[in-house]
Amino acid sequence: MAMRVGPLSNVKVIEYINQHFIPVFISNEDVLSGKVGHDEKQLLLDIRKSAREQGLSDGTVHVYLVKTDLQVADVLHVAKASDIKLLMPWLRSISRRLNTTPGPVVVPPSSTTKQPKLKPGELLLQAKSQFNDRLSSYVDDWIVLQQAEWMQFVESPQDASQREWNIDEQLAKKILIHLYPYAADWDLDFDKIKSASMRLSPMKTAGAERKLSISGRIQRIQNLQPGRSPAPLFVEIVGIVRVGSDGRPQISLSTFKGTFGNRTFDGMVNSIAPEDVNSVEEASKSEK
Amino acid sequence: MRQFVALLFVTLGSQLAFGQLADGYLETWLPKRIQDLESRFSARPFDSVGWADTIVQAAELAKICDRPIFLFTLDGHMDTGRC
Repeated sequence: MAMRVGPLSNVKVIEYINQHFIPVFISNEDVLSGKVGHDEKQLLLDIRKSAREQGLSDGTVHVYLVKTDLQVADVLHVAKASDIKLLMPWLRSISRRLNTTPGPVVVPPSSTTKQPKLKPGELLLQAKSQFNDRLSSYVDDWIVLQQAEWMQFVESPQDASQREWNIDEQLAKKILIHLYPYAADWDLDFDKIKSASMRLSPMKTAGAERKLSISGRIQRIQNLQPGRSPAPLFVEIVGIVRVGSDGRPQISLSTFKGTFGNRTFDGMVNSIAPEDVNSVEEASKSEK
Repeated sequence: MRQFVALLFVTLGSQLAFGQLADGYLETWLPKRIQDLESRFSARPFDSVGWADTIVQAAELAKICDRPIFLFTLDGHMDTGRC
């Protein structure tokens, strides 16, 4: 997060990286979970081996500057790399040593957020939240709801004739857990949730459109780094569900209150309009 | 009169105490709130970096363009901000 909020959000750093390097990032979790291909993992291991063989720093959160022959030129731990005053002189010195020639950015910049591809019947939500002290960037999650799940925003799962009802607790957890901005422990873990609830009530509407108000809350105990006491996390949300003529809900939620320890945060969850969703069907057509 | 006021407070209180906001208030407050948050959450300056999709791709481009690689290894996921 320090890199993302700091140097990688700084215009001058971004410009320098784009002009002098081919930038790439890799998640250690994706490597460990097997999400990356064999060639990708092997290349990463080769790069890290190159660093170690030269007596350079090596580890899970580093910036490696790698020459075109895939030998490491130098390495900087993220604790230093996240400080622009250390990062920029380092980048410049390595660029001079390698005699790099600045030029236009090679890979066109595009959004790093990857909207999941939906299967027929699924509903996509986007959740964002950020601490109000703005010491961190906002987090941006996608939530996919199956039909049996989003139908709970249209009618009671127990009795369709009920005017007011509670969302199933597991579904409430699945959604509300994302209204949680980054903190030292970023793990989204159901087991730490003390309680989660969401309730729908009919709203008075002027026209034929059916609307429901949502209220809800989630409480969890968040373990922080070793030596620090767990901090309580508490969110209260409000929102509106509009049930379209196709029977699908359009969901808008916002935090009414969000606290984590002594910090406050804001967040929201919105359903994505069908025309803005990437479907599995569309993806396979475009790949042909 | 006192009983009426008390009843009014109980009714409003039951509407405004958490969990519910009055419908009229919610209809006005929520869209503005969402709009404000959308503005706040729209900036993603790190998306201005021309990230290669993979290290393998970066290595190929490095050779073609004669440019070194800036490889950032991280815990978590950069795209969601949970890193």
